[in-house]
Amino acid sequence: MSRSRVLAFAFLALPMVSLQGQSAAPNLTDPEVAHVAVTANNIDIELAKVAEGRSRNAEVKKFAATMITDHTAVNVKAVALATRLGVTPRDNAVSQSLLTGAKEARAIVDKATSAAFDKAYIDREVGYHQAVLDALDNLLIPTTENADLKQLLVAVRPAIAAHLAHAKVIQGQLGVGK
Amino acid sequence: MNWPAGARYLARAALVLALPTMIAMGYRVSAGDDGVPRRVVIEIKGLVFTPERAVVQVGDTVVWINRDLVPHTATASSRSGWEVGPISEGEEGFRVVAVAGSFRYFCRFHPTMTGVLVVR
Repeated sequence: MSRSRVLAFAFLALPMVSLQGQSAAPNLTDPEVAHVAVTANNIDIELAKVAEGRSRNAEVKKFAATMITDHTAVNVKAVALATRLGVTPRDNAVSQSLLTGAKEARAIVDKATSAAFDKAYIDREVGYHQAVLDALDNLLIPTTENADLKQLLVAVRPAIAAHLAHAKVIQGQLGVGK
Repeated sequence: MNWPAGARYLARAALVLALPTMIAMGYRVSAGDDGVPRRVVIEIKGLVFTPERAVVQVGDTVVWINRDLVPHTATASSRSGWEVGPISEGEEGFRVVAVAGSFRYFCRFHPTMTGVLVVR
């Protein structure tokens, strides 16, 4: 098995943000929801910065740039809203789970050679954005009580869905000829 | 054909009197069916261009309004290379359409967002 395939499988075997996989769906408070949202955005921003520097594929670099722009814009909104509402984002098990997964993903990415890096990064982004979309639908939006915070999450959802669609297009392109 | 001097005078006078009215009515030589160019709005919301297919007239001004949290562009899919934007949240970008035809475009930041301008 080629090294790139090993890395790809390692990515896919990582503990994804499988919030549904917890023993019971946690009932997050609004400060905890805010913390999860900001954490999820920061994770993608950090990995995208790595991709911008490491990738030699124009489409992957453009995708990474969009991730930085979009997730930063959402975080600016989230922080402004939390400030306006007087809400201090609160760390919680879901945020910690995201960070653990991100640390493991970063370890894999750092070891990947250039060709394997692009596929590993995009495969990770497909899985990550699908998991974030599922989390929005099944946990974050339903559990949020504050109407403004809920509206922000609802407004963000199409962007996450578009990121997922974009990542899948690139995933298909990277897979051609392999 | 040689017009009588009186006729030439009357023609010039008519034009001088009519022109301010025409300008006040927004008349443009290049306008469409009713002679008045329009401001046609395409809303960007939920990472979708609405309407996805916009039918406009040569001379119209097409305005993209971004109601999303994230920035967008309207970028020609063809090699004509026109681009409107980047357009930030709450802001507008516009283009006066000068050539008839059907023009596909997309958002350069989110390439799965696509639209069509049909210019008549």
